[in-house]
Amino acid sequence: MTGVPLRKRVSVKTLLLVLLCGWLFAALLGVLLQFGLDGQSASVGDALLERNAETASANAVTSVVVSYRGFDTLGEVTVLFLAATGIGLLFGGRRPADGGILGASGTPPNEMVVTGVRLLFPILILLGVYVVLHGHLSPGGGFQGGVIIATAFFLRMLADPAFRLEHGRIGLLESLSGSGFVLMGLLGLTLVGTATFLGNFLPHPVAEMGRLLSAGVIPIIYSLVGVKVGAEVAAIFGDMLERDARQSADPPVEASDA
Amino acid sequence: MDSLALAVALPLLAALLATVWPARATLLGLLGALATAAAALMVITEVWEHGQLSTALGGWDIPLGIALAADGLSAALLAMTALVGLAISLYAAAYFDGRQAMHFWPLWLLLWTALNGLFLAGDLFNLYVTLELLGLSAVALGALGGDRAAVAASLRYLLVSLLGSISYLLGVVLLYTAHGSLDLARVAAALQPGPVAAAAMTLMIGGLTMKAALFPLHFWLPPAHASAPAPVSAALSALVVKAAVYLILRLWLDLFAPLVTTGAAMLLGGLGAAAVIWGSWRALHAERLKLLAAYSTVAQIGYLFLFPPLFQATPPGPGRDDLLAALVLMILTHGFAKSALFLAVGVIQKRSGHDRIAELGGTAQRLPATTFTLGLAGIALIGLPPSGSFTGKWLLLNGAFASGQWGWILVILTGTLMTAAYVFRVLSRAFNLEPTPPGFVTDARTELPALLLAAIAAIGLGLAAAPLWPLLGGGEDGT
Repeated sequence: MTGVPLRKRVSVKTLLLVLLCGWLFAALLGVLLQFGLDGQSASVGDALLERNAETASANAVTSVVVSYRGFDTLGEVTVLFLAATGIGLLFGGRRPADGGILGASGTPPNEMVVTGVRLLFPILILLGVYVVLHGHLSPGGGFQGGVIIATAFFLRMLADPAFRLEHGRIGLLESLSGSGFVLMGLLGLTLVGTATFLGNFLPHPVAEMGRLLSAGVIPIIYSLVGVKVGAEVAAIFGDMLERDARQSADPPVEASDA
Repeated sequence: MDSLALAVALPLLAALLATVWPARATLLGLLGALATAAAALMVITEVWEHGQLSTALGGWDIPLGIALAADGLSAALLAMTALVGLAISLYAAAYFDGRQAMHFWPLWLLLWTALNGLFLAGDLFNLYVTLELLGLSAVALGALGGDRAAVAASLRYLLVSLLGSISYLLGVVLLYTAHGSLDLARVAAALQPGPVAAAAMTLMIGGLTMKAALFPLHFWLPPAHASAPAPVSAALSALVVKAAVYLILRLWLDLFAPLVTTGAAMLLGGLGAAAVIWGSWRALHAERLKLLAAYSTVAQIGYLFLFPPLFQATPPGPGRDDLLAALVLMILTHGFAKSALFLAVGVIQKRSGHDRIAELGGTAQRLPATTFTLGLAGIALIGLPPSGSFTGKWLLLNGAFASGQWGWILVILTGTLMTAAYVFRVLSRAFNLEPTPPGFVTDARTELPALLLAAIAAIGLGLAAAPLWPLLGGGEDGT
């Protein structure tokens, strides 16, 4: 125990705030437990499964993510893009004020990591691409596969300090795949057959369901999502990891052009 | 052609293209701004002709797909966003250069995407997505200045914004569990008063008041808005805060209409009144022009929350329509006036290197047009005729008279006087080159009698005119 008296260690304001949050949580829990509405949300779920064949996507979750609520997915991917940009702004454009957190560039990675990553890297890339491309057939898809691909590159960065992601190229991938998503949506809007934003304008006969080339635009959009998510998550990893190395290598970026 | 989808897709596409080609970001950004404004104009003309618009995206009807919808309220806010957005874009093209321009344009166009998406969304979860998009882009833009104060304020803004969104999302989860749909109109039709709906309402509106910076949850706003670059401050104060207010209004009037009680309305009204007084007071004592403008936003948001108790007390009919029109008018006027104010302050700051009010002397001689802008924006903030907020406040006062809620009248009048005080404080500094005299009264014996006479003429006779009637009519038929 330290010699600091209790009232100095616990601030009253914080304590009150914690109590308030606890009370709110208990109240919400009370509502949930007392009026738990199990099974009442079946209406959308049933309608969704009934009409899933219309998308010709064997994976009903993918139908929801890319087709029914594709507009939300476009938003979510953009949120991720913003998060990556924000982290890039915070970590990239600024000198570390009080020194780096990790001395990552100081200690070389050990043999286990290097060998393990050498084995894992191609497998992870392959798995990631598989998961992305089979999003409309099996569990997984652009988000999951994209993160797997990003993880592969993250491991590579850990194992090989000389390996750098080219920020320009990553940014290009991000924006091109994002623009591709929007353009697919606009194509759906302009083509006469669908005439609705993000409409599935490619032929998607139900008979083809379960094949790799089926479900119209769904696999295309999901692949774009995969590229985008992969590039964004990899950029976030890269920004956090390379912060020290880049600061020491490059001359400090001018930050006073306000 | 589906103008609703275009209004969201075009700025998003422009933002991504500006990232692809950073060297031409400014040009692409300006083109994107024009295209977005044109799409907004299309939506507005269609709403003008048909009254209501809605579309189901991806060709899936409502319980499965997502609807975009527009009515008069969203069209009005869309129009404000388009005009203010165009002005900010033009200003920013001259304000930012180099690295900052490269970062500004994508973020600003994404902010615009989020705003249009939020005004047009007809789906509770889609609204959450646009809220997140809006919050994140606003935070990133706020940190663009790059100094320590701006980053600290932005991080605080980020935490508040995320807390508000999570709270909103919890409410959406409750509603979805109870009614099995996320569509705004469907949930509104199915909603029944009860603990689940009440909890959802509290969570959603509570989270949004945090984003709308309603007193006492406004603590994050002044540092965040005051430390951002001028065009960003203008967008944050005029548009981003309004988006949260719009959503509260949408939920209050459309979704939770059978649920809202007088008590809840009075609570919002009371907090709004406190915001008017506290925000104006702090603005009156601010030392920096941007901080003054930020506290003024807190106060002006307060006025908007005086409306719920009046809505509650006014039965549907012309009176209520007037109130709604007044509310929208005040939102629009503040949007234009506050963005003008921030942009003008940006000019002053760039020219003289600071925005300390005490050292503004001579601004009127050096920057006449900018000072005139300050004056015009001030007129709109105070609510002098013929500004939009004059009509808005007039209708607000009428509503308060009609429903007998006298307390609000006192708040509105006090707030207006304080607004006049802080606006004239800035203007008087801007006009004089000399340091001001130390005291208010320099020669008490000669100045006070004149002051007294002027006060009687200006204030006394108006307020205490009642005895004149019995006096003239022989004391019998006084009114």
